[in-house]
Amino acid sequence: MNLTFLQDFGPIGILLLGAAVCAALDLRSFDSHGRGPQRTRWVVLASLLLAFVASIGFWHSSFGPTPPDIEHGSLVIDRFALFFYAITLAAAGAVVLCGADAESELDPHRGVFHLLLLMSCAGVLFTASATDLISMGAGLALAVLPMALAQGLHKSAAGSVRTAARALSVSGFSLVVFLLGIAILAGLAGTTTLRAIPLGLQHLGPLLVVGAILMILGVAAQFGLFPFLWWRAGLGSRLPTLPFLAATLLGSLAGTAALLRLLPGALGAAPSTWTLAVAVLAGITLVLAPCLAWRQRRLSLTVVYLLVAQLALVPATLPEVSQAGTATILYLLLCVIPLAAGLLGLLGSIAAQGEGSATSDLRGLWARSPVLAGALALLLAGLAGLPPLAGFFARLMTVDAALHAGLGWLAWLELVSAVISVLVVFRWLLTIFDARVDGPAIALPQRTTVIGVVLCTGAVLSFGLLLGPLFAIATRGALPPLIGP
Amino acid sequence: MPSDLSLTVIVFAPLVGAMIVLALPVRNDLHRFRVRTTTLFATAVPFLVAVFDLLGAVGNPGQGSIPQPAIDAPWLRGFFFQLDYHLGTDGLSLLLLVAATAIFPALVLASWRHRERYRTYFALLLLAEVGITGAFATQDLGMFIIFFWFPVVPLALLLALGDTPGSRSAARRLLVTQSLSAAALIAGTLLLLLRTGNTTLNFSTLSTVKAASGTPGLIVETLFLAAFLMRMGAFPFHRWFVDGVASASTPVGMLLAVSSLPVGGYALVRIALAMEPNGALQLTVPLLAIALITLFWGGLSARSAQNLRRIAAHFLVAVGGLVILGVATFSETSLSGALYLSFAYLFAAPLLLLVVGAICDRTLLSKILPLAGAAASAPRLRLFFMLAAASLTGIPLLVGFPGIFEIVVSGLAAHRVVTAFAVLGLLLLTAAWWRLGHRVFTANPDNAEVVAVADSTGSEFYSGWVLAAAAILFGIFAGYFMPYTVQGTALVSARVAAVAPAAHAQAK
Repeated sequence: MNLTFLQDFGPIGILLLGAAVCAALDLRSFDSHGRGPQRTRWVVLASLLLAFVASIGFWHSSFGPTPPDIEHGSLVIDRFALFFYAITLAAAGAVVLCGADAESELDPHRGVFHLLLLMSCAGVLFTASATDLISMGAGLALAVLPMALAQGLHKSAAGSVRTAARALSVSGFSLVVFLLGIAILAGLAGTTTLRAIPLGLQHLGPLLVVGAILMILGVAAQFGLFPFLWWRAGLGSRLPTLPFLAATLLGSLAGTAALLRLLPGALGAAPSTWTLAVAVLAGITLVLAPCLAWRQRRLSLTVVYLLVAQLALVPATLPEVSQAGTATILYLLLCVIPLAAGLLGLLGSIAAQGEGSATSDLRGLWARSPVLAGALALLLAGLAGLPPLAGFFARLMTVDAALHAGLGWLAWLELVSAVISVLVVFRWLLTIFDARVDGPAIALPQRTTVIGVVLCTGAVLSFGLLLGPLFAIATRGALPPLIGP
Repeated sequence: MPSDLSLTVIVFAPLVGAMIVLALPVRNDLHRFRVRTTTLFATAVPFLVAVFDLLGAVGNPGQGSIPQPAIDAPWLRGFFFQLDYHLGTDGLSLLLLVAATAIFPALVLASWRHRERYRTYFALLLLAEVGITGAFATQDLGMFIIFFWFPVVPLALLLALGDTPGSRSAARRLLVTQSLSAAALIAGTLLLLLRTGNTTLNFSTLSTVKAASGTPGLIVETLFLAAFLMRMGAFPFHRWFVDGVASASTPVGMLLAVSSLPVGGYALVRIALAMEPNGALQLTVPLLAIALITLFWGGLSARSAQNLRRIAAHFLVAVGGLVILGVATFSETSLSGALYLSFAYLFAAPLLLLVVGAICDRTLLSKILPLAGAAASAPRLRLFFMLAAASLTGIPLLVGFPGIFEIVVSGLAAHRVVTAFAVLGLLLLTAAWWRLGHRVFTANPDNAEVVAVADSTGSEFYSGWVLAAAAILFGIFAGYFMPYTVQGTALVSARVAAVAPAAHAQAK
């Protein structure tokens, strides 16, 4: 009996198996005194851990350097895919740990959420491994749609249900746009295999530019890039914290994997067809998002806009088609994950205690809960890119990558974006540390959330110091053909 | 302890101290005392280690041009540029590093009576020290950028949390100006790397690459100059500094002074001049103009201002003009003069602000008119004020004299007219100083309602004496230390001299 299939799809299989267990536990939760949801959380964490260990094992085995051909060349488990496996699983783990307090918003659908989370993770892994346009489209759909469904799990508020329905529609529409783009590309190249596309593209006509723009726009919704910026922020303000956080992180990871395989990978030899579109979208978002963050009076919305600005650095770095450029994007993703999970998890925990995230609610937080305030301040500082935290190096390297790509104006916009982000964060730091206001103490989050937030803050602190080793790993993940012809 | 670890201890001991301070409880007076003493200890350790390094270095003449002791470990490889954990001091930086570490125990003593937000205040103070000492200790441009930026947010928070009128807007202005300054430095650095094709950010390597002629070098140099002049608080970027000092509490004002001109002046020599000498030579005239305008603007503003803290701030801005003049003269002597004046500023500026702050805090007044004769009965404060102001105006035997003397002497050889005007500006500054001292310390009291200022006592007295003793000692024994600085500046001026003919041809 040939068991290669099981080995190839090991991490994805573990996740799907975990999803099945979550479904079974969720069905049984109604006759097991309500302990099912608690168990599904541990099932998710165990599945993620097992899949993570399997991915690390693949990295160290011969899979990374000499990836085997899977399913007639439609999938591959190379080091690039394995890097995404590891960070996707870590991101999902961070979401579950940091969002433990915010899970109560999803009652009685925690088990369903955990199931959808594992399926979405499997989708990201599938996208990262895709070497064919069709498998990539399928992977992206598997990554995005479960999280769009999860956003509708908060049934108590009518507004959130409407927003969730809109999220599902927009996600579906963006997927259609993406599929249209890859259809044009496949038609022009005469093949759906990424490796064969550069050979099949004889003429670089305007239709190819249209296809590239459609693909970029399709993925832009996952990042919340302009023109999807307001829509993404609207989701952040109305939806439950946990699905929003998971959708943001997993959607961005899937989008990045797809863009890297498609643009520097398949279209690396014809950068003129997509560079300007990507750079313009990223540039507008880089400036607009922090400006909108400045106008917000709620920290949750501010964080969402700043996160979008941080994620916009990914497309801003894409035009630098080289190993260092791709490695910069991978390192940037490493930095964004703990920032997003830690910040939104903390805000979810504060919200679960009945506190808001408006300026008036958080004024003087330092006096009411020094630990919460300290962690929040550190993560905000990381988001603004203050040295020597991880976000600083990521920003520095993206500016350098833009300069190397010959996009000086984009480098300036990145610097402007960084300056505005610092100002936004500074204003919130002043609010948090304001001594003129006092109030009742805020309790610490539950133990699981504390562990998650400690891990995230530790990562934010240490990723800057471990820049060398982490960047070396990212460089090993940035393989040909992802680094241009 | 291995000598190559000493700089790591100097830079990061305050960081460890900040973490301990944040973890300490502050429920009663004993707890608060522990927070203060922990902070004092965390600032004293780097100072003692730095003095040990200084004595070792000055005893080994000939090493001022080589970073001693040095630790160099790879940090980031495989990117377009390489980052190294590279610490080391040479003739350019050692004196400034020692002075920076010496200031912080004095700052903690000056903050001894601080009553609000104990842990936050002292932790931010220690974090600011990491950035300031790190900027002087590093030998890598990437790390310099990090340390250059590092103290900005702690400083802005310290300023804004002071809750005095105007402190928040001053903090915002500081943050905006310094963010732009860091952005300019980053942009300049990246363009420099692109231009040279280099990947290493090592100071010694970047100081030996072929200097660019024409527009690329000019753009890089303009960005560097903008970054460092913003940090110095030179005209037209002085507003953040003046507003900050005017609205800050006394120790925070002292800290602002420590973090501004010395770091900016050092970076002008170490980075702007050594790495883009061609661009610097092309920008000589604008630099000289900025030097003169800064000197006169500061001097005239100090002469006409009525607010005591603002007068002190303008006075300090004007000193920056002399440092820029020293840098724009490009000679080995003038550069060492600029660095020694920055070194003097590290002691004299905080001392001046300590005295001014003490008077304003005790009388609850800041305008000089009602303050007439208010401090006539405070001889120690008067002595501190005179020492600080005299040091910054170049009175012999005090720490400011050697620097100003070297700048003026070498300036007269290179730019006779400009230096003559600078001397005029210095006289203007002296007049402003005399007016202020006479009004506050020696005039007959005009206002019977003003309570006589109590003299300096306790922690404030010790803080003042630390600074005053340094101002006298480093003035009298300047001859022991300056040769070490000259060894560092000799390399920079030689690099400038090597490209000078090409730059002149370019200008023609």
